[in-house]
Amino acid sequence: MVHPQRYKTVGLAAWALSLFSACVVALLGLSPSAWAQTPPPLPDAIPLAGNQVSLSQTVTVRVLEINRIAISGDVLIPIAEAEAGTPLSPVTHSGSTYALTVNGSDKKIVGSLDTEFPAGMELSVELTPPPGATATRRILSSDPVDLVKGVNLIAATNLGITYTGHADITVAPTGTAGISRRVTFTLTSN
Amino acid sequence: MNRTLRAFALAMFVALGVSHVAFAQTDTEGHTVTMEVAAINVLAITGDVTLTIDQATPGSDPDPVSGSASYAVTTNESAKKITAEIDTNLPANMSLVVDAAAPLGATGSTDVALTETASDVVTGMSTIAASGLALNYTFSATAAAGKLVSTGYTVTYTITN
Repeated sequence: MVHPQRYKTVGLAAWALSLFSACVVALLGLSPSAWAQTPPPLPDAIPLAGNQVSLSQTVTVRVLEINRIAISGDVLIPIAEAEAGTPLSPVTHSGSTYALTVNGSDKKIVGSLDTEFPAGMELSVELTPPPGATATRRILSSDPVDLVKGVNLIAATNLGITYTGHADITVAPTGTAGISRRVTFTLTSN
Repeated sequence: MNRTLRAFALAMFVALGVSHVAFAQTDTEGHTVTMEVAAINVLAITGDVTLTIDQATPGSDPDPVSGSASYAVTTNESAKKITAEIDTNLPANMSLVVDAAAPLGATGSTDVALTETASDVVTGMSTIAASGLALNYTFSATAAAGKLVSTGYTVTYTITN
């Protein structure tokens, strides 16, 4: 004997199963004919003699704008000399380099410090420009300054970064720890 | 279904993230620059000095003679001083003294007799770069000292604490 409640439950389950199947079919966008062994002819199919078929397809390619810059190593600038009677001698460091790839036009490189150096200390930088661009020696601060302008369609490596560190006579010796700042170079639109 | 949707969402997220990096309009790179300032104390002296005693007022000891040179100094430290000493003491009854002009903020001592023991000629010197500061020498000899053939002495100046 089938209990009425159980009969009702079985009926509900069957109804739910059919609803689920309908949903699956709808979601997959398939109709029973899609399962046929022979697919319908493609819209661009060109019938040829015999059993040959020629197909055409559109391939779309694109190149997005790419601006990449990389910098080598960290830098230490030791200020340790002076002529008697004159301020401390500035020190120039030319050991680091940068590389860049630009497939756009009229780009520039700006530079900045994360925080200012203490009063009396100054760091300037000059970048070797890639071919076709121009560079200017600038004192770095927390406000970005233009270092290289007119960068166009270039991929170049081993471009020089020349720093010059200067300290006034009023700057107390720092010890070997020195005073560090992060210099950021940004490749951006002019 | 949920698993498929999550996989699709993850794939889109990764694809979008990668394209954002690869095709960024602006790229930024940084490195650390460290400036190190050493303790710097340098001193320079301009010119040698020749002092010849050859005059006297009758009845008095020979007249002292004076000569001058100059010095330059740079220090980025505080409370420094300059001392002076001579390589060999002068013979008896002879003296060589020096007056050193002090740079701004420091104090110069007057008529410091030069001996083999270092003596302070400038004190209280801090974070200064100065040049053309006078070094005035005075050489004296009594009649009892007698004559002295030309003799070179080396006066050494030192910046110290």
